[in-house]
Amino acid sequence: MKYVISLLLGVVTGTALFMAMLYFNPFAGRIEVSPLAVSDQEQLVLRYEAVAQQMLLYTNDGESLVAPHPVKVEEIWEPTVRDSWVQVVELSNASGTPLGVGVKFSSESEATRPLNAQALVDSIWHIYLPGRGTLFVEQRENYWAYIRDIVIPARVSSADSWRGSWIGITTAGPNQIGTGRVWGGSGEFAGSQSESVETLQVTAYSAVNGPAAMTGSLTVSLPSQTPENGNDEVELD
Amino acid sequence: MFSFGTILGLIGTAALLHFVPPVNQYRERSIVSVQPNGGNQEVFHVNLPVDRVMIGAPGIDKPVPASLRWPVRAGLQGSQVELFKLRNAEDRIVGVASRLAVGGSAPYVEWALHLPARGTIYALLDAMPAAAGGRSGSLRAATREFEPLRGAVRERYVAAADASDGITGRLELAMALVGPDVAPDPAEEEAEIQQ
Repeated sequence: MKYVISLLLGVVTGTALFMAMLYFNPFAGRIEVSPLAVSDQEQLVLRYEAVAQQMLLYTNDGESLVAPHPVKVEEIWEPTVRDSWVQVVELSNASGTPLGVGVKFSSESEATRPLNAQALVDSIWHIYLPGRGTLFVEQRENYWAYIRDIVIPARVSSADSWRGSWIGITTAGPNQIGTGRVWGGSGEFAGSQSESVETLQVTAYSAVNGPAAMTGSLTVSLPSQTPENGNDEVELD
Repeated sequence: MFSFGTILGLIGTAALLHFVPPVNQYRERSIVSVQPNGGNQEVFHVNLPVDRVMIGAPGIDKPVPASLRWPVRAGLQGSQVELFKLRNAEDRIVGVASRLAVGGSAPYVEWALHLPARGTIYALLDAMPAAAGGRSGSLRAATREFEPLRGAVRERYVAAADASDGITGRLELAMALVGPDVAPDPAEEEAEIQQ
């Protein structure tokens, strides 16, 4: 009997050790420098509120940590979509001037590999910028650093929350250099292709309700064939 | 025995994480019909109004959901954004989709169809309906399973014969798609969709 107990204790210890190695893996760092930082192309920065209650609409399976918004919004609980969530947000520039509306579809990715420090999400942006046109963005995002640095500390905290200042790039592909792919749809972006990077900035997180203070930022490298006035932002007001 | 157990725990956890996928998206059967030109056709639809998750537009009388607070800004006038649950030919939910309709001097209609287990389709449609009804357009971009495909897309509204079950009609999206090694004939693709 004592051998069995020793064996079981050993297995538990080994499992815990392995999980600790994954958690403290020094090679799984947070990405803070955008791959687009070295690009000489003009960049379009679209900011949005990433807390569900501050979005135009947020929906998921209705049983996840983050509650859908607004009230009585239809939940996507069916088997094929229950591991997905949809955000509809107002997009603004760096100074907070509204520029347009974006719909973001996110789904847990089957390419997720915890051994490689990956918690992947396949996401799509469908963006409408009045006066300019539309964009379609494909991204593979990695939330490993976000989970490790914010979600887990909030869970183990006696206050069930996390506060601090965290900025990280979630975009991890599908392009080799870790950027997302962008296709122009209509308007001045029609026919164009470029790259994007999405960044999250978090200052408060609740283990009970999810993000409490979080903003997102999608940076799109504008293609060179964009008209010369491509940097003229059209304000909505 | 403890050391043996520790090693077993280390190896076992690594093996478990390596061989057991943490995410396994549920899949419905893809209902694709092969066309004579080597391409294929797949039809999706949304049942109205039950599959509409959201409709937002400046000054809209009845937004969905009713508590939606859509921004009323001058730049958004004449535009409408909708979110739907998307169904396959067997009437099963297979994804979610956004539809953007923009009016004004340069109108357009766009769809983004997101099927979590398969990928996403981004289609651009003519703003004005065709004489025969419906709108035609083309695939602008696609991801994952759909990535190598290109072709034509047609949207049409089909009114329900009997609205007793709460469904007044369906918005149908028919795709005629071909792979990269097939030269598409736009006229032929359009004809297939019309059938």
